[in-house]
Amino acid sequence: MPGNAANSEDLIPQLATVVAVRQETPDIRSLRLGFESPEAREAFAFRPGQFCLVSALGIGEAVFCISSPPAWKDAIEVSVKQVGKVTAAIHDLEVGDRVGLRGPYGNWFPYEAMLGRNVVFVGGGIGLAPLRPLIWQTLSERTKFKDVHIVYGARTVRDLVYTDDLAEWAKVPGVRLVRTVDPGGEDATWNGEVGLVPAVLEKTKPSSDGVLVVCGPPIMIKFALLAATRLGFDPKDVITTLEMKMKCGVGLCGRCNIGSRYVCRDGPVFTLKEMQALPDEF
Amino acid sequence: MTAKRDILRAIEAARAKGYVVFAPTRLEGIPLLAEIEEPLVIDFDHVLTVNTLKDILLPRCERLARLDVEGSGIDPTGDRDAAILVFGSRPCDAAALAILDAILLGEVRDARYERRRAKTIIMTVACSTCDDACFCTSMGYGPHDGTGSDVLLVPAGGGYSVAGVSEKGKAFLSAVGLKEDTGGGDAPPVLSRKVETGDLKAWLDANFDNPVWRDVSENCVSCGTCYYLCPTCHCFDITDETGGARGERLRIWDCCSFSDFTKMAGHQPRRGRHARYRQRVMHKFAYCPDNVGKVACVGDGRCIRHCPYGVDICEVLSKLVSTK
Repeated sequence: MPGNAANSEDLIPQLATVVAVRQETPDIRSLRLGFESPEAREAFAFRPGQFCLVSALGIGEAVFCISSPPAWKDAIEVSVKQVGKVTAAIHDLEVGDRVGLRGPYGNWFPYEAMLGRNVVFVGGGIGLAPLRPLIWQTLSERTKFKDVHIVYGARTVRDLVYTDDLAEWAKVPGVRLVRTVDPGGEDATWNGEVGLVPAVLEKTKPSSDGVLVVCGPPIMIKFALLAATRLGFDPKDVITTLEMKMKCGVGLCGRCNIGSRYVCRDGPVFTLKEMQALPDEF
Repeated sequence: MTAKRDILRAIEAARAKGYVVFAPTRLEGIPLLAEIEEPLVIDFDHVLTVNTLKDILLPRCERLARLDVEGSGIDPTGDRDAAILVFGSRPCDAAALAILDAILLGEVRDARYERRRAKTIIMTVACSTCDDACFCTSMGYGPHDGTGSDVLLVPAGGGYSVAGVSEKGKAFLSAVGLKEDTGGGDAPPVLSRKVETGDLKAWLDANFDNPVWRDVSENCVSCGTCYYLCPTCHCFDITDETGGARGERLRIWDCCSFSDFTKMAGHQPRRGRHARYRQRVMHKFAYCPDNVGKVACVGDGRCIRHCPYGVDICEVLSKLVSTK
């Protein structure tokens, strides 16, 4: 059963060990985290969309989506953008260092509602991180879906994450991958699109008879949701994952709400239809 | 009618059994709920202590774990073992616990709050007076209300009536040799302050972007006093403090009025003081009703009594519901 099995929360992390690091971009680093025991990994069963809290011991704790496929048996991965004190400390970690880990928390992408339909994944920058496990899950059962589009972009060529995964996804039959960088972000070797992700999404004209899943910086999400609406998607078929400042991660500390919904407990995955009922406070 | 000295004897009996006792005392004249060593220091003449049961059940700064980066990693801090007797809480404070229970012992339970709550007896002394900031009756409570209490003492002709409100309370009375004695009881004080909130919830649901939020929050300076003294405010921060390789993970009170409350690197979803004040009001009067079916306000009036800039929640609510 995915999600946090215990409903009594004492806010104490388990220990995990950094087993691999990969520098994705100049300011994004992926850490693969191994568990203390196979039982600990099993108890951490998660579904794409869920998040965890990672502690740089003694520095602080921060929230990250789980960015690895659930099928990985021994470890999970998080991708961390360096933006402050805690993420800087996490960037300093090396293989063998220990971290604190709490989770998995939150709800998950409605995978079952996507079955048998066209699917469009739209990612911006590090926003591809929560989509990555969902894309892998979808492509591992490719025949259960109709058309699969992936639209992914970043500010510049150097800011694109998971370039190996992107190359793999492009090779899967019936997957259309469109990569883009912001105007001015291309280099001499770039052979993808040039333009902001929401604009490129509209340009690719995906069929509106399907599910669209989007994640990226807040401003990109807002424009992508507008684009999805203009393309004719049904608001209950447009899905995103939101990020708010979090501390407890389980709905107790009162911090991460958008209106009456807590992103840690009622999200982080929301449909556009749900968001239309919430105040513009994210 | 039970004499005060018998009540004090029962408190002493609880102490002898190992209860840690909290009761209202005066510190430089100010009524404060504090841990006491002997019942003679208990103050019976105040209207309301400045602080609330939150100090005991959701401590201001609580160590969750010791951190030892090079050694054991994370060592959770154990609980204080002793049972707790809170004597002299007012009905509004006890009612606030029922609200905190709904929030912190819901779908996900705050384990530490749960354990402390389970070993705490709430022995409330009902009010014989009130002041002009009290508005518990407007929130559906009252000066002699037993909601949230384990034992309720009501002033009665110079002494008190004694009621075991919960099973836990009845068992406690038995253990300390105090008999239930529910005859009599003086008339409750009459509150001068009333606020008619009418269709407040419907107004709040429909008026998130109403410019009136700027008007009603104009005097607020985000000092957080209302949060610190409110018996139902419970939001908290988790922070690590270390000197080198060793340190502690702390849970500390945090206030939605503070500008950093929701601030992330490069993004602040709640911009402006009016937005933070709106969160305070919405959380208490709209979101808690949506999520746990209770308004998170008991009308104790501490926010009104102590706001340094005269922000009055009753005036705010009245202004809101009357604004188009």
